[in-house]
Amino acid sequence: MKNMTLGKKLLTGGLLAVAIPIIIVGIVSVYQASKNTYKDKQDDMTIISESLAGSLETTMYEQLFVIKNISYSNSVIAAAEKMEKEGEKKSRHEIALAEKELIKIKNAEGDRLSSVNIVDRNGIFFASSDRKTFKGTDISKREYFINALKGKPSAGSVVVSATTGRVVCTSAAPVYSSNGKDITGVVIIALELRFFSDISQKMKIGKGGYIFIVDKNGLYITHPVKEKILKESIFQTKGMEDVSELIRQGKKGNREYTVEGIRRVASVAPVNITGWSVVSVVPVDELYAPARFTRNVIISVGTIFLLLASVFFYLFSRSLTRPMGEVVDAAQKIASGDLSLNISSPDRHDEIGRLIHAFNEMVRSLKEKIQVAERIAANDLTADVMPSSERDALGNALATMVDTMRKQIQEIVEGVNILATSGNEIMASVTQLTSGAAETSTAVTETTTTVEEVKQTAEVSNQKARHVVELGQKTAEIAKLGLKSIEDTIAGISRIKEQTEAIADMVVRLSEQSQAIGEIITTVSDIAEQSNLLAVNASIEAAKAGEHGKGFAVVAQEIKSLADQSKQATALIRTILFDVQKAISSSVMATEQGNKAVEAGVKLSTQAGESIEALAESVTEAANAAIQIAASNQQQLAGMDQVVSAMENIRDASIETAGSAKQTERAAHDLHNLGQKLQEMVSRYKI
Amino acid sequence: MGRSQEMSEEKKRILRERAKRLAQEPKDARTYEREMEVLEFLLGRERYAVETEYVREVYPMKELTVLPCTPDFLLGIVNIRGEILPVIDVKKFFDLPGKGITNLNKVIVVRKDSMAIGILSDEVINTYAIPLSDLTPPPPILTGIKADLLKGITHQQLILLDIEKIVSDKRLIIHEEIE
Repeated sequence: MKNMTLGKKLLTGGLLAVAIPIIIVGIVSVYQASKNTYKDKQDDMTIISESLAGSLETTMYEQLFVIKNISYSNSVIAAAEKMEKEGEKKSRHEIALAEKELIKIKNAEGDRLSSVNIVDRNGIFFASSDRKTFKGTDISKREYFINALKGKPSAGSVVVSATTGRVVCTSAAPVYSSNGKDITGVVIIALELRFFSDISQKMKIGKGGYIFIVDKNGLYITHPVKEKILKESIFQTKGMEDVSELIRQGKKGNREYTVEGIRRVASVAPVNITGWSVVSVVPVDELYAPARFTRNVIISVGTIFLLLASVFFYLFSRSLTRPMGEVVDAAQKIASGDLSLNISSPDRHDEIGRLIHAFNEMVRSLKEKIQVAERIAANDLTADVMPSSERDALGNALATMVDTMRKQIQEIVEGVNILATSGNEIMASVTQLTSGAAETSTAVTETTTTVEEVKQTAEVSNQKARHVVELGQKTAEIAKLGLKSIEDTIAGISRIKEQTEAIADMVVRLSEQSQAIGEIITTVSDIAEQSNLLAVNASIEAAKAGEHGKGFAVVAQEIKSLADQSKQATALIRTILFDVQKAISSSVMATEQGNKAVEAGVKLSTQAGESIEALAESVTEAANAAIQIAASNQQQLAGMDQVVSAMENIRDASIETAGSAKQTERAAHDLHNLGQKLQEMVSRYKI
Repeated sequence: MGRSQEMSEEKKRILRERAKRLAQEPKDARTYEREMEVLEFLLGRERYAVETEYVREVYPMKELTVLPCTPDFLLGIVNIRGEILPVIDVKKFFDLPGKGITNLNKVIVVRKDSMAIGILSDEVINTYAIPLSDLTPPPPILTGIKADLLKGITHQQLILLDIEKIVSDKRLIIHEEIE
């Protein structure tokens, strides 16, 4: 059930919904119909058997009635009586009359009767409706004749005619004498058995049904199979014991039996007057034929409706499942990541139409997301993701992803830039390192050589140190002499200092005096100015005096010229004094500088003395140091040997270092390339 | 524009006057022989002169007392032998640069009738006579008080001040009220 497709489910469900009621209704109705028809048919058969039995009985009664009438006929009685008494030859006339009567009766009955006869007590035919045939026939052994002689009329004895050989049904009645006491003969009527056969054959039941009549001994009187008539007994037929029993007992009833594999139903009805039984037989199958018809109708109608229903449900399920299948295919494609699809959406407005629409919407939304993702994949992070709704998990995730990636890429870009820069720096450093290592290697080799040289130099310096010791001792003596001469110099300079100070005092005094001269000159200049003014005023006054003032004017002019001259003279003096004052200032300065120079000289001499003293000590120390140097040089020589061997080791190590520096350089180069590649890669991102 | 138009009109007027003056013959030939006694002094680098007739005396510039709330041409007042005199600075009229006042500056005391004022001078040169014929009227470019205070200019570019006008000029009367 679970693995069935929706179409099959619909188909199965629909067909079951149609088939189950049809089957139930069919079974019930077939059952009912078969039950009813079986009973009806049996009733019909009973009716047929009984009605045939009834009509046979009636016929036999008629026969008896007819034969009794014949036996009571005067001509017959007379003929029989005469025959009894006087023999045939004498009663020819009476026989002829009786025969006329018989022919009349026979003709009245028509073909039903084969013959009407009269026999004598000995069973010999003497009168007959068909004289030529029956004359002289002896039937003295026949049962019905014996019974008739006993006074019992009978009917229904089926016998093979002694004269014609045909099977006939005979009825016999005694002919009484005219006084009515003696039986003189027997009237016998032979009924054509064909009559019964016709009746029974006319009354066919259905197709396979038929009717037959048996006598009380079970012999077939009529039967569709002619060979059986009067030759076979039903009592001897195998499988028909139930029916035989009924016949034997002379009862009516219905029994089923099976002969030669065919199941039949037999309806038995007795004919009391003859002891016969009418048996109508129908195959059971035929009884069920209407039910079968109903069943067939139901089956065929049901099948047609089932077919129609299956077509309808198939179409219906197809109309459901085909688009569903497309949607399922689409969903599978989407599940497998293929979005290059477009579900053709016929103009449907039911749930499937909405489903397809929703699917297309979903695909469209997914395509948008994919475009964003493709842009992201193409390193374009400028895309803005707009989630379809707040609950758009994918959209939100994409938006968050883009944001996060943007941030991360920015960080990566920064990191890569730093990495690239660092790679560059590392490479530069490593290149330097490599060259440095190479240089170191070279340098170490050189150093080794140098150390050898140093060793030799150390030996030389050892000799030199001894030389220095000697020189130091000599220098110490010279320093002592230098100290003495410095002391003499200091004393000389001190004397110079005293004299210079005296000069400075004098110059200061000179400066003060020149200052006084300046003041005097100012006074003189002032006086000259006032004289000039006075002269001007005098000349003004003189002018006012007119002619009388002319002489005074001349005097005033002279005074003015004197005043001018004295003004010029004072100006000259002032210039000279100014120069003098400048010179004095210079000499003051010079003496001060001299003073300072002398002091500096004293100081320097003292310092020189101290220096020489220090020098002497230093030289002594140097001499001592030289001795120590000589000693340490010895040690140095020993150390140098160790250094040489150490340098050997260092040289080996530096060669290794150079090798590894090369490797490091390659690695740094790779790192640098990596950084550049990363930069290229990162630069493809658009943020 | 207005100023240049005014100037051009004035130029025209000056040119007309000059033409008129040159067209006239000298009225008095004797003027050449007459002389004028003047006192020459310096204001800045320019040579000025006043007629000795109006000069009372020349006095050293001492003890100048500055008066507040007076026009800038009035330097202040000085006490000359008990007489209080105003001292004016002619430089202010002629837009000459000031040099500062020292003891070397002189005050030329001029008088007209009973009115006496001091004129500041940078240096007093001398007194001498100049021929009147040597004197020419002040140049027409000078207007206003500049023109009114001048009597004339000699060929030696000696500027002769008109003391009468200076003393009597209404514009020199100071009447200011300070609240």
